[in-house]
Amino acid sequence: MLSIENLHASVEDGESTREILKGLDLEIWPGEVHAIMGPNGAGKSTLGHIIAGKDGYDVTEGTISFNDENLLEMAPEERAAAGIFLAFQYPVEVPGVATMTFLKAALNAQREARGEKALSTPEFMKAVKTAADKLGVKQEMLRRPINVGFSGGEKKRNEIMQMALLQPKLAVLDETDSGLDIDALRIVSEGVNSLRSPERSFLVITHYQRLLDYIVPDHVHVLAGGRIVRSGGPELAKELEERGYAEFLEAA
Amino acid sequence: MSAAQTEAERTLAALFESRSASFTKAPIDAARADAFRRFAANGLPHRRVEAYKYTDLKARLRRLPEPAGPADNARVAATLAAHPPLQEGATRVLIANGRYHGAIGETIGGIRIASLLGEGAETEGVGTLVAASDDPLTLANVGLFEGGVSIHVDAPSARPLEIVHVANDESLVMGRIAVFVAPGASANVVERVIGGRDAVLNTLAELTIAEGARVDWIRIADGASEASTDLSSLHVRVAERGRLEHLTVSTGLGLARAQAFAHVAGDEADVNFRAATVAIGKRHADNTLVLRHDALNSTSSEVFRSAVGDGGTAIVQGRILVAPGAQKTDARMMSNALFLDETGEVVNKPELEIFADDVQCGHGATSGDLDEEMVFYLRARGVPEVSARRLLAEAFVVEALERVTDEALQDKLADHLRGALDVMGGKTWS
Amino acid sequence: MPAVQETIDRVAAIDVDKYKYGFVTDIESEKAPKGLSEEVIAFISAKKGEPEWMLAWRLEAYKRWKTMTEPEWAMVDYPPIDYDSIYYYAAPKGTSAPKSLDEVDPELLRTYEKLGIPLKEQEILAGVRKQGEPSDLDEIAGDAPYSRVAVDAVFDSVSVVTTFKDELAKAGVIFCSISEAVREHPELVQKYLGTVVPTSDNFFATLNSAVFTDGSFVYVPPGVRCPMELSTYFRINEQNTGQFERTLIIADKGAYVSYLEGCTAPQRDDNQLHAAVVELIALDDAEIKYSTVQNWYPGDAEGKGGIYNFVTKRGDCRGARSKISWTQVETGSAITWKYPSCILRGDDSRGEFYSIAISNGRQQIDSGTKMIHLGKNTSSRIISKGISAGRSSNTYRGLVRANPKAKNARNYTQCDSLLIGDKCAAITIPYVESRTGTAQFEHEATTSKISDDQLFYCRARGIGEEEAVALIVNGFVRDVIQQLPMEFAVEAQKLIGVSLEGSVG
Repeated sequence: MLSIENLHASVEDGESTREILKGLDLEIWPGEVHAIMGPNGAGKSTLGHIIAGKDGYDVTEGTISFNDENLLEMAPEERAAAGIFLAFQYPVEVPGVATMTFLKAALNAQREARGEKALSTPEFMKAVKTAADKLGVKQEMLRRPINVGFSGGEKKRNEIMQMALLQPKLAVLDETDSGLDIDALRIVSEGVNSLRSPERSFLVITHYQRLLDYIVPDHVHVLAGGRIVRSGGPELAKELEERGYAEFLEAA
Repeated sequence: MSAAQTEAERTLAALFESRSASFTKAPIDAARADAFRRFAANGLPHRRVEAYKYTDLKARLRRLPEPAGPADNARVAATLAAHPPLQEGATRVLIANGRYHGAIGETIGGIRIASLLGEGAETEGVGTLVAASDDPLTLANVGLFEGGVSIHVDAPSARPLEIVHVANDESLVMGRIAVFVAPGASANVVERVIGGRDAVLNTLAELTIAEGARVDWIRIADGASEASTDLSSLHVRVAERGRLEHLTVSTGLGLARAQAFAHVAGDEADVNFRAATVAIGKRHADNTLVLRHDALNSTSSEVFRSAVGDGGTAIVQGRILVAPGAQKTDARMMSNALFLDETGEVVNKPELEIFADDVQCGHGATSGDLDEEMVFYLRARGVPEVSARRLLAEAFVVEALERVTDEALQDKLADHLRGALDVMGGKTWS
Repeated sequence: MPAVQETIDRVAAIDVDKYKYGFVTDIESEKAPKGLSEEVIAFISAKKGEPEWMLAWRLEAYKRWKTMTEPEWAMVDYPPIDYDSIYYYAAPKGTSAPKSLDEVDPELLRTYEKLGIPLKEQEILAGVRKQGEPSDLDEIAGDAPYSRVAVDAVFDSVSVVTTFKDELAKAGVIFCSISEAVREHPELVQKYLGTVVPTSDNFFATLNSAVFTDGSFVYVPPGVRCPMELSTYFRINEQNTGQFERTLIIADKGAYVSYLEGCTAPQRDDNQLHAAVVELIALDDAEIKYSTVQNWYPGDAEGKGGIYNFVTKRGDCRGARSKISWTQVETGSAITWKYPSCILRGDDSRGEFYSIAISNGRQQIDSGTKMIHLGKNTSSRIISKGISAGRSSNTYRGLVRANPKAKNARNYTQCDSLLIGDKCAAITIPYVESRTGTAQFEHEATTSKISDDQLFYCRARGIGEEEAVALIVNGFVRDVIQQLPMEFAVEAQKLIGVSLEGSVG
């Protein structure tokens, strides 16, 4: 489904250029849940941004293909229509645009891009209600502008609610656990787990093992110094929890 | 008159000569000669006049169209029929070519409407709010106005009022309005200009808000053609616990300058100004506010939202003055401008003049293009870039409608603004 | 918080009643006759041994000035100035060409002492210690490394003493009076003088161009980082002497210079006119930092006798990646009319303006800046802190403009006013003009008074009201104070306390 080969990426940092990803390889098959863990500054969020197509990164080498399409040549909205979903670490506030308006625009744009019919208003309302109820997102929140005045937890729940509505093929969760209390973490994780299916894959980016108690991954990778330095099963996360990232920092 | 008199200024002088012949001894006429003399002393304001630095009327209005005569009834009726009221059940007050068109001394739903000139005119108190004004547009109207209405609202009024200015194409029109809202009364007013291709309007409104009264006033300046000019001046005085909710919607073509001079005269009064402007192409939209706090514990807020593109110009001048002794004033102004493409001009000139110490006053001004973080967020959810930018631009302008309480009206105005943004066509949104 | 304690100590240590710099130094002057004419201009030019072209330049400016009228747009109110009753030239007798410190009039050195010119510089001037030696006074500046300051002292209109010349010369830096530069470096003066502030710029700048008597000249050659801070102390001493300083600073490619200017003036009954012009030019990759502490006599309680300060200061970021930074602390003068500005011509250039303006008594300040964005990727930052007390009026007036070619220009402006008492005025007049959609401008302004809660908190901890006000005000202006070189920062903090004396209670 997602195949990343020898990915090198850098950012402009004032007048100099800083390489963040230095030859990253990753292969995700349908239905798999992969976790990317690593110390701060390892390039975890960069990876999420590059998959979603954010500006400001320069891919100097390597490829990303998604269902045999060259992802790097696609606009962000084309990637979304193809089934990529990024749950943002810091969802941006968009004043003036009601969440409902936004969701409808997003859902129908994706459907149109895939050659599907736009949902009628009642169909849309029903779909939103189902997703919102699952994540405990109140109707009142949906009427408010996107993320404006939402608490940290509400923003994250809103992200997962959007995922439930948009039904992506690959969801990238960028530090979705950060800033969540234990109850919110459970709700968000349940939302994610209920979306797990043989066709849908997840890339869970996190600093802490805690989230992986709730969303149990098939594979765990350690990202340090811009590369995957170690891969394993769920037990690797436990090991990291006990021993920290120190050895990988040295290795990188 | 100054040495370099323009053709436009000569037209105005000639107009005064012909109109002054019919001036009566009534107080409303007595003020006219003095006002025009004061206007003529400096002529049309130009860029060296600080308040007109960015809207040089002397240069922009080198010549003026002929003053319009009384309007043709059949044509007016047709125009009105083609543009139904924005609020359902609104009482329409028609000012055609500057003259009140309606039954003399009409009373509709507790609102008394009368002409300012001629038989049955009601002029008591008219002119009070502009007596001390030295604004040239105000002075020109006081000297030259050809007619208008006085409106008395004596009780809380459920029925909205729609004041409609209709002007002949290529005509010069200077209608005048005076509205008095009695203690505890309320009024809900929409003022709009319909038609008038290549016309020059210089309207004047005086609004007196008595103790505990509330007025919601929306003015729609939608320029009909590139050579149309819509100049309007509102002078408002708000007494104790009075409240004003004012909104200007400025769209379309040509030159527009919407001025408001607000005097917060009573303790605990609350005034709020909003403006939504879309200035595309040759549109030059100027929103100018002078707001004076002269009482205790009064509050004011302003939000100006302007979107410019394809070379359009948006000017926002907002001056807040807190007079000596106006303690506990809370005044806040924000002006945000959005460029829809790389061209155009945005000027923000927010001013604070504070002469009392126990106050909280502030202003902010921003200009720039869209926040790319927001654009990306929408795109990452599948909204194509063009639609994402479009959606964000609409939201940006429509936010200025936040205080419109009538939801149906709010929707209509939002649609109107979206339509105005359409003028950019594929140009911006690609 | 030790920093706060330090401030309290400093403020508490100040024992000054009203204005401590009001006195007259008794030195005979050599004057031109009152009033302005081509003859007076020729007299000034001859006195300075100027070449022909300089005189022609002055006369051209004078011709233009006669056609101009005094500007009226500023928020300042003063009786008409009689330009015919001003002396346009006065030189301290016998100091027309001092060769060394020994030749300096002892009276002059005593003047500096009374003025409170930072003691370190006094020591240098008085020969107590040589440049580079540590001073006992270093403790005052805390743990800051000992820094050296070169002083080009201006006593009335003639540059009297210049120190550190040799060391600067070694680095290739030219630092001398403008009169000397006209004689010794005519090619540099001719190339740059009037290129930032043209002779036709404004009424006061044009007047200055015709009659400027002295000022400083700095040229830093390519790639040179000026080895010390450059400092000039301006004073107005002779009664009815207009002070027309002219300063020209050029930082050539890749050069850096930091220039300090400070002013005090003796007490007088007649208002005194000051119309200086400062031009800064930064070529590619060059940086100029210009700091001012201004505490001229503001007039008595009725506003009588203070200085009129009409200054034109402008920097031209002419080269790519150049930077000009203005920092000012304005506490003096009856009238201040001053807008240190930056023309951001070079691509990627940067302009900064940091200002503290304090008005008390009957003072009137109309000050601010202009940031004119012309080049691509230019950025500017404006931080202005105004404090009004007594019956004063304090206006911030600023212009930020991006021309159509100024792609990706950026400006951030923060403009705060503090009112102390209900008889003063705080006025904010920003003009923000953007002619390109790629420019991002952000302007914020607030006006408020010192909160009763803050004041009470300080007093509940045993701090007197006046000290508490000084303390809070010092906090309010902290962002700007931080931009000043250390010696100036200390002096500026003291000044704030002194300037606000009598403003509460």
